[in-house]
Amino acid sequence: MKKICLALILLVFCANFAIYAEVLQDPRSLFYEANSLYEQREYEKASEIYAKILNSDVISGPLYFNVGNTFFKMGKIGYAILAYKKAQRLMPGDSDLKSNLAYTESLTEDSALQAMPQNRITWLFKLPFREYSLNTTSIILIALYLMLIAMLLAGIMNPVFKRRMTILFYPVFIGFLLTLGAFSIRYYDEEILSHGVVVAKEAECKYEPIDKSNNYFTLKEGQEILVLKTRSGWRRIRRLDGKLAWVKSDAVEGID
Amino acid sequence: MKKSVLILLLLSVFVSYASAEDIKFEAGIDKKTVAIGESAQLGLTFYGSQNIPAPDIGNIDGCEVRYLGPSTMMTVINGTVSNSVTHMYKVQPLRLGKFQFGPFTFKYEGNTYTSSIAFLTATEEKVRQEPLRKDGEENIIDSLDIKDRLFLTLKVNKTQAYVNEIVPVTIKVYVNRMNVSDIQLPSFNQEGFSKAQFEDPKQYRERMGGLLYDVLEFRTTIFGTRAGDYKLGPATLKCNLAVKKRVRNMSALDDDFLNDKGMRDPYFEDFFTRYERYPVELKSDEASLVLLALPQEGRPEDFSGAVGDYQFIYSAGPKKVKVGDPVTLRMEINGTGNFNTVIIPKLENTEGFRVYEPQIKTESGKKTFRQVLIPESDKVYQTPRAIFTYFDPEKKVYKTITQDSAPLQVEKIPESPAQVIGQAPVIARPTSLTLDRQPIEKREDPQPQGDILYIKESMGSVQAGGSEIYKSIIFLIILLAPLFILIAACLIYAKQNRMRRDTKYAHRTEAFKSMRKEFFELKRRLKANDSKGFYETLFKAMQDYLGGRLYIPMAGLTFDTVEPVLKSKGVDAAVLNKINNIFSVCDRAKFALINADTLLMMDDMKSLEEVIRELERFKI
Repeated sequence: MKKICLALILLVFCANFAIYAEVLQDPRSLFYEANSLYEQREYEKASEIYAKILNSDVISGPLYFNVGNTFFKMGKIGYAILAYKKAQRLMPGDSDLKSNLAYTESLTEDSALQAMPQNRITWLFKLPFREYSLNTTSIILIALYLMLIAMLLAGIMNPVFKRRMTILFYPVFIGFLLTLGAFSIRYYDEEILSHGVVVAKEAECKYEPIDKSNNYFTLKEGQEILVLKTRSGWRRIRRLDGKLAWVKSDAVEGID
Repeated sequence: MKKSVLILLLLSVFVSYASAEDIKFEAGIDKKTVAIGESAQLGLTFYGSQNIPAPDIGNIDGCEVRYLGPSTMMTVINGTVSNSVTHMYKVQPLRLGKFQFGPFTFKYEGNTYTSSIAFLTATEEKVRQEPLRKDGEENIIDSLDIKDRLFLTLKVNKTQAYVNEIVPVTIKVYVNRMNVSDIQLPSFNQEGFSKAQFEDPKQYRERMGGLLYDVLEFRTTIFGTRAGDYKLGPATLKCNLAVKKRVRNMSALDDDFLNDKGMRDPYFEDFFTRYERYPVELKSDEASLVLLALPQEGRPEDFSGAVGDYQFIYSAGPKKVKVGDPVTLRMEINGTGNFNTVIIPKLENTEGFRVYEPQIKTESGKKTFRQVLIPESDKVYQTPRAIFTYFDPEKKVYKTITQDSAPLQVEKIPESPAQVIGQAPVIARPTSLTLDRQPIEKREDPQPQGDILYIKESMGSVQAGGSEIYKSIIFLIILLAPLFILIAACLIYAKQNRMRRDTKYAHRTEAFKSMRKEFFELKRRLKANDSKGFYETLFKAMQDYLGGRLYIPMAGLTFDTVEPVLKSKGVDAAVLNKINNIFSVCDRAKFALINADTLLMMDDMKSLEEVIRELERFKI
């Protein structure tokens, strides 16, 4: 009897351990497992494992990149673009990503409406940081900010140092202002504005959030839009050329 | 092992059975000029066979000829076998003049081979006087007479061209029997011109002046934007010259000759040889180019600067759309010419359309424009007409290609409660040269032209969702904490600065500070019931405070001293009275005229507190 009890306890312990082991499995090993499935063209299975990693609240640029590739291979262009856009937030300078995103976007209809219009000042501010993620930009901003504060403090405490440091101070100050501008613009674009991608093959955009409302225009799969608000199964969206309409929530997925 | 032997046998059979047509007979000499008494090495090379014996070249008038021996060579490059035999002769001129070697005719197995010609000039002056010095690469390079054996040429393929016309430029490196490595891309002075990137260089052999050169050819194109007479170049190119050095006897130049593929015999390699690399910068001559302005005669109004010979392909789709849906015009300019100057064709009658910025894609020999138009009403029946104008530099005329409108069916969208929609930016047609943007080509063909790049094998830097630094409280703290520190430092600095400059303020501050200290002392004395010590401290506190506050010497400060000052500042009589009382009680205590108890001391301390509070209100 004692032996049976011991065996049962061991069994329960092992079962629990197995469950925990699965939950606590290293995301990297899951990643490699999904990659090998991708290599074997088991795209459905690969996507499930990638999803498992994402569900464990772990993100990385290459992970989203591979998710994008998997969706692309599954013929889900909208989801592929969505994943690439998410990857772009984390590794905007990656040339493979740029290539795949450009290629995938070129396969969408109305690809001309993919590019978000932006003025020259915004473009100029973004230009030096286009290869860096917002996170990296924020680190650069902090570094410059601390340098600036340190220089000001040093200048206050030691007037001799203040005179010597003037040459260095202005470039750092200008660099800080530029970085602050770029960070603010990007923060507004990535964190305040809510970007989305059409994941349905076609999404009928209506004047009102009612099924019977007339169609205003049609969005194609993979097209990027701005989501303004969400209400009872509908999303208020703005096409990148400025047109406003309502679309079914499930037709659009947010990038953020 | 057996397989290897078989392959070698087969290889040797193939080598032996090279047909006569494949065999080339060439003559080459390692020097162009020698002094009397010096010798040069003549090489007669048969490419395509290794079995041909040494030809008898007979006697050459005024020149001593001695056969040195054969040297065979077999190379396998990308699976292609090539072999050769070079018969080397030592030639030594016995008189001044120019000697011609060849063309030599040689009959072998029923086939007759005729060689090319090589020349050698014999001079009185020694070509190479100085022995090779070990130190200083410049001396070594200078000592080698490499001008005829390694040089650079710059050739502009036209002498006259129009503004914006593409002009091909060719730069060639000529190498004769020298070991040159690390060849960098050439550069040349191109002021006033825009230059394209160099194409992949071509490598071939070229005979020039009786010498056989290995040639590396770089091609590019340029175009100028202003008319005038220009000088291009000189082109420069950096490379390394590998010079084989022997410890004994042999000069560097002699070794270079043996360095040649056709001449080198690995069996006779000297164990005491070594290679040394010396950087060399080659420089070409200049080239001239006249740039002509584009003719004014016949110049169309729409002409935007495109120069070349082009075709214009135009298509529009879809043909049936709803109001608000995009129509894409695909305009392709192909042909030859300067695509930098090709801008989007002019669109006529764009009324009724909202025009977006075009997407531009430039490929070799064509430039594609994708122009999105959105019909704003159902009254639009056709796409705009497109006109492209260019100048043909060959025919020297302006040409205009017009593509007619395509029919378009625009359906009205159903009536609905009107909404005010944000206006999309209408982009004006560019009027000057435009820079190409990242092209995004829409797929016409169901089969994609390319494919996506492969997945990432590494997960990169992993982070938890929402763990971005700018979202964390630490980011806010890092931003705010130094700011507070800075503000505090500024305030301290300002105060210190004022203390240094404003003596009255400094005294007042110091007075207040010392007063606070003395209050503690008073409390201590009070607690110890030390009335004498208490009143001494009280007196000192009053003296210090008033001295500092009124900026008067503290020594001998009494009520009589401070009263007129305080009165002039408008201090209340009640406060003055209190000050007087404090001074009086301190004086009496000093001379033990009062027997103060704790309550009295507390009252006096309170009086002092009230006096200070009152005086702090005044601007004195």
